[in-house]
Amino acid sequence: MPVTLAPPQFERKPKSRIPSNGGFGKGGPGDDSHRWDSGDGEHQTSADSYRLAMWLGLASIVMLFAGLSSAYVIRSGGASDWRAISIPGFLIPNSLILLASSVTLEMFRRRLTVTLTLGARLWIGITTLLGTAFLAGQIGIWKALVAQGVYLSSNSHSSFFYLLTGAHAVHLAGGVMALLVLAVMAWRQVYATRGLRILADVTAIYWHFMDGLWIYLFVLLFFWR
Amino acid sequence: MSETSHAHQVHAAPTGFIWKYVFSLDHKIIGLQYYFLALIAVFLGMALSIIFRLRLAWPTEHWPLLAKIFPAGFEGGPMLPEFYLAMLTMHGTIMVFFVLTTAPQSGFGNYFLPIQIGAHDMAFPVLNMLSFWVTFVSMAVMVAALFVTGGAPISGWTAYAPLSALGEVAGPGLGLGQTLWIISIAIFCLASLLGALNFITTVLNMRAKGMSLMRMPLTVWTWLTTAILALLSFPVLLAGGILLLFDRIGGTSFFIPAGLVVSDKVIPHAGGSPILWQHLFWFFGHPEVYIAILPGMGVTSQLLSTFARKPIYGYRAMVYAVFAIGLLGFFVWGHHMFMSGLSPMSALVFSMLTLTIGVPSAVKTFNWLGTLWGGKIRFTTPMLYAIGFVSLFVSGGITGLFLGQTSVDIPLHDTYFPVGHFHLIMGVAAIFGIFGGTYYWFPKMFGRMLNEGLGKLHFWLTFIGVNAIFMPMHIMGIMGHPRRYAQGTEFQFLSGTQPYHVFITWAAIITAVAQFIFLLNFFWSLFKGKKASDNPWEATTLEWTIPSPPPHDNFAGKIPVVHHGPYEYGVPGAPRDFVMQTDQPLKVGKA
Repeated sequence: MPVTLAPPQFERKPKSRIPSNGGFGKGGPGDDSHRWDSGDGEHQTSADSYRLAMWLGLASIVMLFAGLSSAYVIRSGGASDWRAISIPGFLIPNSLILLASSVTLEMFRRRLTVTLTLGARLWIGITTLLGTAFLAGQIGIWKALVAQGVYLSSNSHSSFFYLLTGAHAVHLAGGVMALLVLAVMAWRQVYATRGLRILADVTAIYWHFMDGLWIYLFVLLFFWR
Repeated sequence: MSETSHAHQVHAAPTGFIWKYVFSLDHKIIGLQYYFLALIAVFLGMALSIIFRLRLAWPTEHWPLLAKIFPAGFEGGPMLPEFYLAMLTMHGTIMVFFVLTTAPQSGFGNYFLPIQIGAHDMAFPVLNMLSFWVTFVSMAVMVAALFVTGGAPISGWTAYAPLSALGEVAGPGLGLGQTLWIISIAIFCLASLLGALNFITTVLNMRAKGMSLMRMPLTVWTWLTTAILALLSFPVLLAGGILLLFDRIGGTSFFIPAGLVVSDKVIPHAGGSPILWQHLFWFFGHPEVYIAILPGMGVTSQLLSTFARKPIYGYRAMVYAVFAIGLLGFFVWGHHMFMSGLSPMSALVFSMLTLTIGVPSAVKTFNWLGTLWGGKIRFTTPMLYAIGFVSLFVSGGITGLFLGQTSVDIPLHDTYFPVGHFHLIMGVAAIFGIFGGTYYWFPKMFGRMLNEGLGKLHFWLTFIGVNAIFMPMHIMGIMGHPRRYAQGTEFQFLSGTQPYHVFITWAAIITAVAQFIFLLNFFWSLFKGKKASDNPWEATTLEWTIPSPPPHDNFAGKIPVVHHGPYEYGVPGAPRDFVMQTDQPLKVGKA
């Protein structure tokens, strides 16, 4: 029997990421046709607010890595001591693990209906495992490099390698924690509560962004210059 | 009980002391926590400045009392130059981060932003509480740097590499003291980010019905712009801080060049670029200037309109000017580096962009004057501070046009001229914004009025005092006195400047003593001041529609509906000379 694909039951409002209550720049005397985001009297922080805050958080992360990247570009351009390390062997398979985790996270979100099905629970479990595996893989890569005698202070490229992958791993660890919370919630709850859906939503934004960031860092570290 | 009956999600008013005043989720308590943190910081920063001013005025004098507190700084009698530099560094750092960034934005912003837009709290109360306590930890780490072995860092608030990157070999305080400095700043960056995304989300998503963006008070506009600046500039400082920390403890060479010899020792690093630190630092550092001053501009606009009993002149122009200043602030960092070997072409571009900021700044100034023109001015203490702000903004801003031009900046760079410039415009003007806000909002925050007589005395002493301190610095700068020198008396060409040093130090001492009038007024009025009504200034914005002090959820369950712009004073046909934002719409065509 063919499976009917029902759209997930979010009360997501398409194309209204930032509610334009008040209207940007509109309004004059008597113009009170404004929407108050959460309705009169209700004070719940809206799902839109969580999403907006996540995008703002990502903007600041972009600036952090833009700062580090500009240091990388300037440092690699002017120095005579620049000796690039070769791509560590496990880095490409590990990257594929991270990319796969983005796919499995979307599988989870597609199965997120009113009731939490076994499928949804398995996919979020798999995503958490893949995220953890990537972090473990990164630690393994650092250890392998140290064993080869490539240290943080060995040369400027190795410094940046440890620094950028480390900064990415720290951010990713935060994402893994969110995934872990999601997984525990998914396995314990019967229904997908409002809290779970919002968490799934903002975690997905963050996680996919970390994926993209990783690809960017990979290109920067090994294909710049 | 009203707050529990109407909305299930509002965090209920807590009862225990810890949850009510320490780990509070209430934006008003958090605002006050920030305010008092800044109050402690400003008196600490002021004390440090008096200490190093003593050294500048009387370089060979002995200070037995200070020598007892800081024995390492006074070995052999007079104050050591290194100790002078440590005081200077900590003065700048504490003032910039824990006063100018903390009080006007996090303090007043937290307290009044949600009320002024008709929200019951910030969007994320827990994040808000965290951002305060992270700031608190940051300040504790910073103050600890004063008391560790080797003392506080001596690299200035800009912590220029490579000296800041080398460790103890470069001087006392550059060991553990400098490490603590970097860690503290990194923690501060995190706190600012948490605060900034909370502010932006709250403004965009939590406004009451009828509160369109163009009906927001200008204070809210400046807090929003400042939050955007903080969100985008602090991460870059964090990036620089991480690199600097790695250079210090990880053996990397991001900022340390090859072949460096310091204190007769060859430094085993290679290839780094000290200028890179300057780029990263000033990419943050220049927006930081606006983070400090923009909220003061908002407060000044609010006060001038209220006490001139006139709508703000050119509301929209004011909004656009704030945004223009914020935006341009990201593209001018190079003007701090004209003397760092910047190419003449990029120096020219930075110079032109810098001078462009004069346009929105002038728009603001002329609109402030336009607001005053023909007003029924009430010379209350907050109004005096607002007018004082405009005065300082002009006299400090004019010299920015001097320094923004490379040819003028070259001889004036690193003299007392920029010191006078940035203290007037960024330091003291911002402080006047804080004072103006304090005298204006004190009745709302604490339910009692500040004493007007003491307030006016405080204003005049402070206003004359700061001009007496910083105006002569411009002259000293033109005479060629370099900044950061512990002693000018040993140089022939500076022999004429010593009387200025003595004069400035006396002016600083008198101004510092005058601040205790403020402190006295503050704490006396807190308990004994005249009871304040809900709207003692006859102002129009939402915070004046609710009791003083406001109840736990601000509007006691009655969500305000906004019908008017923020500054409707002297409206023809209105029953009073002011129309509050929540008043019913006026019948049009009556006049």
